[in-house]
Amino acid sequence: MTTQQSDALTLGRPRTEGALKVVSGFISRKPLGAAGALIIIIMVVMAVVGPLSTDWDPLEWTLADKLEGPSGEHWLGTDDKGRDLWSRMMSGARISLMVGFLSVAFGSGSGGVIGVVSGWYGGKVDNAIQRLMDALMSIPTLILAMAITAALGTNLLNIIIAIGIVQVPRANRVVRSQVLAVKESQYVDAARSIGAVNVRIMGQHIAPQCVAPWLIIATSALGIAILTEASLSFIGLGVPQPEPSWGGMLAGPGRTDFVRNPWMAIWPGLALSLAVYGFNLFGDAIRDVLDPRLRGT
Amino acid sequence: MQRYLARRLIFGVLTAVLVSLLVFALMRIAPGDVAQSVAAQQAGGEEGTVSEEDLERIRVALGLDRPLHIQYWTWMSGFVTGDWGDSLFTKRPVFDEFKKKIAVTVEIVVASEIIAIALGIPAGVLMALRQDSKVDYIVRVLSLAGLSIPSFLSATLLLVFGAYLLRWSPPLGYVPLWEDPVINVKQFIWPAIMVGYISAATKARMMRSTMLEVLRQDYIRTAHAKGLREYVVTARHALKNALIPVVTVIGITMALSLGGSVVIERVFELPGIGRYILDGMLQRDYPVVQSMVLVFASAVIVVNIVVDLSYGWLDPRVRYQ
Repeated sequence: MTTQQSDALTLGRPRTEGALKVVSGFISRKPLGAAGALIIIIMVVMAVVGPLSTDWDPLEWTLADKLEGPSGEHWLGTDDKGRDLWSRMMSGARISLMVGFLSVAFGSGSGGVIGVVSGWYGGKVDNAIQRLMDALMSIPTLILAMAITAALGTNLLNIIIAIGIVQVPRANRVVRSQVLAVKESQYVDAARSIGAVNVRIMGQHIAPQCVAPWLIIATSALGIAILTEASLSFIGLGVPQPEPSWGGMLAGPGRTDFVRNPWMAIWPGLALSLAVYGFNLFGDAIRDVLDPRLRGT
Repeated sequence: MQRYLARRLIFGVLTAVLVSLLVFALMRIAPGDVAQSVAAQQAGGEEGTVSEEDLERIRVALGLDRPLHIQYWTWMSGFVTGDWGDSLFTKRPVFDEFKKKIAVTVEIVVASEIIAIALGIPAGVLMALRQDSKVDYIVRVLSLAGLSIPSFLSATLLLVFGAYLLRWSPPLGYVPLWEDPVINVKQFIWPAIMVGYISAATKARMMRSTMLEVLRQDYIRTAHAKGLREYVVTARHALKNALIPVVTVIGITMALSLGGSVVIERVFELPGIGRYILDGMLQRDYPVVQSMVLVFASAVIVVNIVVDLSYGWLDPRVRYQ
């Protein structure tokens, strides 16, 4: 516990020593994690300013220009309908990031809240919630996500909901086990003895102790969420065509017309793998920093 | 032990029942009218030309006019006796199709698990023994890549480059193992490697961290101190203990591989359960989807029970608690 707190101190020092020092410290201690963070930053930039950098509409067909390689006009080339790949890649980054962050905020977020409530109340409430979580967890992730989008309909919001729900049980389990440990500590007894109500104890005394394990789970869920969205779009249960999702760009013509214009599959494939790789590297570094038991392993 | 076993089994059944309720509910909240799409399919793909009586007739035929709890009960009582209903579109019994297709998916999952163990465990041990060396770094980067490159991308690249650069492609279609083992292995080796690599990456990473933890234990120092050879210390003292947590995640990796089979069966055109579920979902063929999802979930539940039970056998410390 003490090591964790001293680490929290080093992390929280920007107020006194400047954020720059923390950043350079992170880079020198976790070069791979910093590389991951760099990839994430590039992706965010792509998503935010990318679509503004070009006049091409990601959805507009220009059949005269179809299946071109990279050129001065079409920086990354064009697809089978003559749509500009650069502009489609940038819009794709937006979709991937949106699905990643929103599904984690919704899914891992509510999973964490459920874990706190379930662990704190215990007894019947806990039992009922955990059996439901067991059931959710026993359905393979991708299949559960497929079933939810198939049921709700394939649009961006439903995909975020589906990929979010899939994350609930894992976040719940990790946070709940932390709650069970924290619950027994003296300061929780103290809070109870001065008459703090349940909501106050959970919010002020228990939840802050769960932030570190939750962050570890949430960062690792980011990469998985992006990968799941791509898989869903690839098999036809994700972002509907013609919306440019990286997974969707790899399906259909991206595959069948590969010989005629390999760039159609190379760009989204490369971007997708790099993005997930970046999130995984960053997630690993976050875990090393926040989980003292695994330090150096 | 018997009480524990009974408890685990009861919880397992309870979990399966909850899954069935979840899937049943999911299939019913789907917007749109199933009868409408069945009618459209019968009329040859034209929607909106059917009369209300026809729709009513289809609903009665499918049992969709009955109350939900009756529909659920019909499905569940049929499920345990092997009557899983008929596909809405092919009209074939779901259970018969399942029997035909299950071998494909089982072969992919088992073969990929074998590859994952053969690759992942040694890689993890190697990384732990050579911690922070070049080998460690390279294998770490490779294993993280396994978690980052989607199987549909690697499979697509393999097929495309194989076909156009090397004029090679795996034999198409599906030949059962007992009919022609050679062609069968040629068909399954690549899908199994693609799925297995992901699972191997998970195993290698976990193996590395548990092995590093074990290597710092006192009894390892003792083993070194009494002059045992490096190999004996690693294999008999460290590996044996470090393997336990890795074995116990087999349920999780199997669930991953089952999910992966959906994607990989589509890319390689293999007629397995994953493909069956996907087609069922795309067409909203709910008798297919609900039974197949329940089967996958039951498989995961059973594997997790077996893993829990083997835990006591693998780790004697647990038995006394």
